[in-house]
Amino acid sequence: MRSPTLRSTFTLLGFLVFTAIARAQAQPALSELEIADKARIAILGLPYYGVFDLLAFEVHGTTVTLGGDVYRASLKKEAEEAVKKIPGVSRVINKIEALPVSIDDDRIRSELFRRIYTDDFLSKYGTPVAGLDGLRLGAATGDAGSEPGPAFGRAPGGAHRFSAWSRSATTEFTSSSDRVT
Amino acid sequence: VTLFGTVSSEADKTKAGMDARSVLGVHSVDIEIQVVRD
Repeated sequence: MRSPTLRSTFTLLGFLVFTAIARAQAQPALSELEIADKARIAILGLPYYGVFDLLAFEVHGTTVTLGGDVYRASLKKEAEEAVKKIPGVSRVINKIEALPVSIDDDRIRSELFRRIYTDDFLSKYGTPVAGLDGLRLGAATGDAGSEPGPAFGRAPGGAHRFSAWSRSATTEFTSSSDRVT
Repeated sequence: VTLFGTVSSEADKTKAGMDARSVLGVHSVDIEIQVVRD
């Protein structure tokens, strides 16, 4: 025979489980656009998402597929972890590619950064400009076969593609093109 | 080199391309910059 304390504990546990299930069911499922919006915010909020990285993603149902090229390899995992935390996302497919390490590419990146962000006309893009996303750079040369990957500037194939560098899901939404702008 | 992002004028887009081309070792520049006017 079970003690009243044990019975109460089971009852309480049952109630808690029931409440959690009911709450989960009551939560409206996020639409693809809502998930995309949250994914964009999550990616743009990554502390090490720099001017030499470019991330893109697609949303299909509750699955998010990440693509693009990153300068720092660790950003690949960080982006995946950030998107996984979004409520309503059931699966994250990570197709982000890390750009090859190349001393010559680094020199070009450094020089390119200096020229553009110290340019009298373009230096304004070094800080957030109202209404503009800013300028994002990708640099790779033929050194050591380090050509830009096919994913650079493009989202993985699929129905709904977004650039993480876009301002809003609605203005940048595309359903048929391979290219993310 | 690929340039990506948004700028406020065609002049800025052109200038970014010119800057990129002027870097030693850069053989080609792919300009994927969008011009977004206010």
